[in-house]
Formats: sequence, C-alpha cells, structure tokens
Amino acid sequence: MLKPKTDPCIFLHGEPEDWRLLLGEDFVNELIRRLKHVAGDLDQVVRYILDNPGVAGIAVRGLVFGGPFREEWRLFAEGGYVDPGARTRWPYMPNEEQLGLRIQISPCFLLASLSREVNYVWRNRASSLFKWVSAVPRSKPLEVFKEAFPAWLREVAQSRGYAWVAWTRWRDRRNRALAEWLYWLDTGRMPHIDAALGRMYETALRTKKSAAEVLYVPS
Amino acid sequence: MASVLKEVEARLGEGWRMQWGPPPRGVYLLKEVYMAEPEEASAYCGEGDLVVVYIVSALEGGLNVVYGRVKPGLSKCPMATFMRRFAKSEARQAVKTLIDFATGVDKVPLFQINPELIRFAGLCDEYPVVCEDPVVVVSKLVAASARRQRQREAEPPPRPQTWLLEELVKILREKIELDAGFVEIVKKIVEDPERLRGCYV
Repeated sequence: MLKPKTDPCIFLHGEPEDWRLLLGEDFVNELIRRLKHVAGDLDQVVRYILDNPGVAGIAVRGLVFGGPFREEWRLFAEGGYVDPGARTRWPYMPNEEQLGLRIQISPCFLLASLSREVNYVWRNRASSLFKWVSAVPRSKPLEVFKEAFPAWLREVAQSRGYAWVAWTRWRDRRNRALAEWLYWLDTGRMPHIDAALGRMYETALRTKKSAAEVLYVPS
Repeated sequence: MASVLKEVEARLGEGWRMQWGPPPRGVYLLKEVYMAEPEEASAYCGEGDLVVVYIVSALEGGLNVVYGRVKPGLSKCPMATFMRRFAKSEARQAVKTLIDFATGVDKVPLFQINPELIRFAGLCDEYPVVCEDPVVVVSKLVAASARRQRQREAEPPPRPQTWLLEELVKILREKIELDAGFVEIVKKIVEDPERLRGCYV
C-alpha cells in the first residue's frame, strides 16, 4: 500500500525532489517502472507527466492507496477524477475588487480524464479560460496557458501578489483558483504543495502590504 | 459463435488465453462515448448467436488495457475475454497490439481511441493525428508541403529533357529499323551538324 503525503495535484508540480519527499521512494520507483518506455528517470517522468497530464490517471491505475489523502488518490486511480476546487489557503487580505473573470477551477483539474461531464465542468465553471484557448489542452498545458493568459493578469499577480488575486471577487466567490493558476504559470509548481513544504510565503506575499498588516483586519 | 472466437484467436496470434466472462477492471482503449451500453447490446443477443468479445492486455502491477465495443456490465450477451500478460516495460507493445487489432480487424476509426492511452504508451510519434491538437497537425502538414514545394523549386527536375531525348532516340531507332539507309544520314549529321543547317536555308 502506498501512502503519499500529498494529493494527486503533485503531478503538475514540476519539482522532482518534492515528488521523492512527498510520494515516497516506493511510489516514485513504481512510476518510473510504469513509464519506463517513455522516460528513463524521475526527472523525465516529471517532465512527461507535466507535458501530458492525462497520462497520470493511467499511470496510477490499479495501485492501492492509504494515508491521509487516500480518498482523493482512490478517486483518481479508479475514476481518473480529481476535485476541481482550489486547495491553497491564501493569507487573508481584505479585498472587494472584481476582476470580471470566471475561473473557479484549479489547474489541478487538468489531470482529470476528459469525459463529457468533465468537459462540462470546465466550460461551466471556468468559462473565461475559453476566451483564450479553444479547448482544454491535452499536451503541454503549461506552455499553452502561459501564452494564452492575458498579460495584464500576469502583471497584476506579479505586482500585487497572488494572495491579493485570491481574495478578489467573482460574484459572491473569491478567485482562489485563479491565484493558483497564476502561481502555477509563474513557477511551474502547485502553490498548496509549496505551502505544505513551507516554501511559498515569500512569493505569495509579494504584496504592497507587509505580513504584519495582513494579520490585522480592521473591523 | 465458436467460429468468431476461433477467428479472433487466429488474428491475435500466440500467447492469448480465452476465458468466458467479463473483462477485469482497467482502462478502456476506446473513448467511452463510442462504447455501446450493455442494455443496447442485450437487445441484439436475446437468443441469437452473438458473443461480445473483449481483448485485454494485462500489464504487470494491475494495469489492464481493455478493448471492447460494449461497456462491460450486466447484459444478456455471453462475453468472452482474451487476455495476455505483458511485463511493465512492454506497455508500448501491449497498447500497440490492441490498437492494431481495433483499427486493422474491427476497422475502428483512430479518433475513437482514447488519446491519453496513446500518450501513456508513448505512441504519439506513430499516431500524431490522435495525440496532437488539430491545429498542430494542420500546421505540420502545411510546413511539410511548403518544404516539398521549396525542394521542387530548388532543383528543377531533369526529367523532361531526358524524356525528350529518349523519345527522339526512339523515333530515330524506328526510322533506322525501317530504312537502313537512314544510318548514313544520321552519321553525316553527327560528323558535321553544321551541314544540317544548309538543308533549311
């Protein structure tokens, strides 16, 4: 039984060392064995899956999972499905801005195998994405979305911080998933995994406000 | 029924084992929208002689690749499953065998095949139409045809000239065969081509 210390989103996290750390040697070796015909070592496996996210669901088929994330892994290994919701807990920033973009799906959802229902979820909950791409890209999504995302949005994230984007609004919701997208496009890593490894906050808080002010929320 | 199973066995070749019953769980080779529902199939095989055939490449470690035209489930049809074990490193061959069977024997169009599985098996170089975005395929085709065009322009083929010469030689040969005296004329022309001009003036 494999007991990964993180959820399947790690397949979009382009950092081989983190794979070793969070998935464990057994799991990593199993992946290398299963993808031997296309990739020789872990670095190549990471790259291959990042370029072809749909492959991950097939590569873990038939494995047995335990540990704190077993439910998500089971869903992924048996059904090829991952939860579309955002996973990162962004530090709070009071923010009532509207960006006018509907992207309520985490980039992690790229891993879900593209059935009709999954396609519907994409079109319905991330309709703004389809102003920039014609279909969900099945190969090299990172490159495709880097090209596709508008420059102003990337700049907003750069100048005001991902956390700021995360707390902007779309109707009555926050743009947490959008912030994950922007972080992922800039770094090629998943923010919640970076956060779990205590690595994120210097980049997430690249905002005008300092961390101390964030803690104080005026009533 | 038996004849169909025999034929499938013959097409698959060595190493496949047949058993009655539905296939094990696994990844489907075809996109699910192109697989018939079990109820739909039941309507056809009430008391007839039909059998639903599944072909399964079982990769070591619990990954099964299942090919069948009907979703496995409860139906009136008898089901036969052909299975073969493959080592983990043979994933490419395992998937290729099934694709060959599906497209070659069953004449399934390529676009019905699950592209993720082709990517997993690393067969994208063999089936670029399935893997790549249509835009990429089209742009590659355009680039290839442009390259061919450029090649054609770069070196004008010598074919028309040699063709003309060969035709002339053929005509001359015929003439010589018909009239042996013609050899003398050709000889004279070859000795002194300038003399030929005198004939026209």
